[in-house]
Amino acid sequence: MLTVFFIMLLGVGIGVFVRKLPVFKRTNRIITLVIYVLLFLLGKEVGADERVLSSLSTLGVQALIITLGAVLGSALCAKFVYQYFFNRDER
Amino acid sequence: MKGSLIIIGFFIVGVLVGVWKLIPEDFFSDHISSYVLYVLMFLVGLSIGYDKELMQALRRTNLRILWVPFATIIGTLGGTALVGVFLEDWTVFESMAVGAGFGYYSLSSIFITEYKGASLGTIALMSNIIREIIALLATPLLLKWFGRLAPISVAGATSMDTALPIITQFSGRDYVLIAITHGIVVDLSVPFLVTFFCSI
Repeated sequence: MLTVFFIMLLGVGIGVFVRKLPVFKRTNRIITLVIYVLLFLLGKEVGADERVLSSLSTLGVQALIITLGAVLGSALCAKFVYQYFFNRDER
Repeated sequence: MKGSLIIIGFFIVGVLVGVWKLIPEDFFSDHISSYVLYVLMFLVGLSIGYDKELMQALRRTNLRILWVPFATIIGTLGGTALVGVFLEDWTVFESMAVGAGFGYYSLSSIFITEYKGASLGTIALMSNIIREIIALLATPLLLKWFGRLAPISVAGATSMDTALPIITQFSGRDYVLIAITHGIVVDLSVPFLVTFFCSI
């Protein structure tokens, strides 16, 4: 797991170092392509695994429930921060 | 939204290829995909370090703005932890790992697939896409019920790109800088938090 952090930090360091080289502007494009390939592979894995495939609707419901928790939690905290740090000096 | 459709498109084509077994099963071994993941993380790091404006934007930030991404992260992790208690199939930390995608579905679902398998990876993909859709569609309600920062928090990592136009429209132009800074900070936290919650 730590490997991933170090690899990413290494990337950040090298990124700072090569700022003058315009070639690296294309990095984001390459990232997008790699992500497409990996999502295709995730799909392939889901499609080939009958257990995952047959539980797709269950997974969808679970995804929805987790999302509602995430949305409500962040909205409540945002309301709190808004009232205590932002709203006060606006009115 | 076009980006989401392309992403879903690749996923669905992958599913069909898997169902019909169009390519041999061991065409891409697990081993290869973890190397691809390393390359991906390296490139993500590279793009962060390379982006001069990103670092400058963070440096110019006044500290009060940082309360907003903080609220998003704490609220999301708290909410998903609470939900995780009630989910039978998944642990609290697994639920939090899905939440820690903050709408950044591509990267988080790939990570989670790698460490937790295709089922949770698929949940992460769907959950984070749903989050983006909610951010785009429910903005007026969020504004009414939870105030002007809520659309930004709910948008998560997408507050600086996909959701930015609608946030500008509803929360106001003066919140654009907050939305962008928020997006950058939350976006940067995704790889760290997702791997963290996958590893515990």
